[in-house]
Order: sequence, then C-alpha cells, then structure tokens
Amino acid sequence: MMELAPRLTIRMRTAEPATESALIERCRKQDAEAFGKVVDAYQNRVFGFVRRMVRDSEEAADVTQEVFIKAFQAFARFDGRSSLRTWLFRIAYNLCVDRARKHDRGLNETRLDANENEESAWDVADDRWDPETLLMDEELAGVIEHGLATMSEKLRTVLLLHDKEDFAYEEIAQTLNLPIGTVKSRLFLARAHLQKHLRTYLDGGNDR
Amino acid sequence: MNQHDLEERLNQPGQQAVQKLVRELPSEELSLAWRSELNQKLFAQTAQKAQRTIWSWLWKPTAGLAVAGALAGVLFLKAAPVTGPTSGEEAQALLAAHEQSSLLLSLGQTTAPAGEDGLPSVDEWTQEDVTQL
Repeated sequence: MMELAPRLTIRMRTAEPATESALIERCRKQDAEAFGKVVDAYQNRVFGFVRRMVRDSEEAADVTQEVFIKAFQAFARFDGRSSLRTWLFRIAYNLCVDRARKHDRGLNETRLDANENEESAWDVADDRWDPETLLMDEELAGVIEHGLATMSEKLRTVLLLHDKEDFAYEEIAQTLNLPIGTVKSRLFLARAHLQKHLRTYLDGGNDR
Repeated sequence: MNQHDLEERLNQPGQQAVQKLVRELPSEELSLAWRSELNQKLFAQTAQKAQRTIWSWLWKPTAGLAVAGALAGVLFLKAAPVTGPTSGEEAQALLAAHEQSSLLLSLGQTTAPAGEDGLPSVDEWTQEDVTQL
C-alpha cells in the first residue's frame, strides 16, 4: 500500500478532469474506496497547510482528520462548482480558523506595517535576493517557519495557498471568498513580512 | 496601488525569492497510524449511517401503518350508529314494561289467578295487554 500511494498521488495531480469527475461521482455515493483515493492524493498537502495554521503537529493531525471526515459526510452536497482541491482546502481553512479562535492564537501574531519605501529598497537594490543564491536548509526553513507563525492568519493563508500549494489567484479568491485584488495585496504583504524576517537572518550571516 | 502596479511588485526579485523559499519548505508526511485511525473513523461513520438507514426502513413503514390504523379507527367510530337512549317517553314505557315482566317472572307461581284482578294470566297476555301496561 505504501508503494502504491505515491503513484496514486502523482496520478491525481496530473489527473484529467474526466478521471477526477468519475472519482467525485463515486465519492458522492459514499464509495469508501474512491474516497480513500482522495485521501491518498490530498492528505499530506492538507496536513502541510494545516500544520502551519495551528499550534502544533498533534493538533494539525487531528484537524486534518476532521477535514476528511467532514468532507466524507458532506460529499453528497458537493456540487462541483469549485474544484475538489478548492473545496477541501476551504474546509481545512474554516476548521483552522475555528481552532485559532478557540485558542485565541491571534495574540502572538504581529501586524505588518506596510512601509512602501522600505519594501521598494529591498526589491530593487538588494542583490541578496537572488533566488539562485538563497538555498533552503534547516536553519533557513526555521527562520521562514517562524516568520509564518508571526504573520497574521489572513496573510499566512494566502501565502501558503499561493506559494506553497500553487493555487491561482482565482482559486484562492474562491476558497476564501475574497476579491482577487485582496488576494494579491495580502500576498504582497505576506512576502514583505517574510523579507523582514529574512533580513535579520541574512544580516547575521554577513557579519560572520 | 492599482492592479497593474501590484502585479509588477509581486514579480520583483525579492518577492519571487520569498515565493521560491516558501515553495521549497519541507513537506511533512502523515503516518500509517494516522491513516489507520482515519479509516476507522470513516468506517464508524459508514456503519452508523447504515444502521440509521436500517432503522428508518423498519420504523417508517411501521409508523405509517400505525397512523393509518389510528385514522381508520377514528373514521370507523365516527360512522357507526349511535346506540344511546331514544325519546324520553317511549324509553320510559319500555323500561317499565320490562321491569314489570321481570318482576312477574321472578314471582313465578305466586301470581294471582287470571281474572281475579281483572287481568288475564301472564301466559295469556297479548301484545295489546303489554301495550296497555
């Protein structure tokens, strides 16, 4: 089963619309095998998103299970107007928001004060922002994860959906019920927030 | 900031660098134990739903029949003739005649010989005699 799962995952990502439609139709009839394939395809992606939206891994695992249980219960009502991916991530987002409100997670989040002059200096003059020279390692990943954790939930959601999950602007707008312009501006601010965090890391590197 | 400007700023090197880093963040995988637990919960959901379906298959027709039976009973009772008392005088006359004949029967051999009191013997009573009573 372990060997089969990755192939199934790959097949789902490149699945033709007809294949996913057939799977959705079977899921609507509470076909457990078909739903199992949906879980195979999306469990790690949903977990990755949820993990960065809630307090810890244990809670993320619980919430991810809740996502799929709710999806299974509600599949008969899934009308196909949005993609399956959009629908699942909408369920995930709503559950994360509920959990965050319960734990009042917003206390640790810092608001971004958009300073246009500072941001434009970063983008234009700083040659450290060469994607080829910035390589991901454990330390850098930790800095980014910390930056994500201190970002407001609204900015973090858009950033994760677009940059990590490759959602298009329209898809994010549909998932979060936002105008596309709002999606883009939140994405911009979210990235700017991470740039601030990374600045400290990079400045520390240059001082060594 | 209009949409065009925003789009340009999103495509600038700093923003693109952050996008690349976020994309490369390590992914976590869920364990087999997690999947097993989810499968159990989904199975429990399916079993509960199947049980509810079975109960509804049993109880809905039964409840329907019970309601239909109750309605039929009510309608039947409403349509049946009322066997209560008729007009007062007739009822009283009939009742008096019945009581008298019952009394006479209970007296048996001690009834007065026919003719002594001007009445025919009980065995000789006719319908007219009863009516006169």
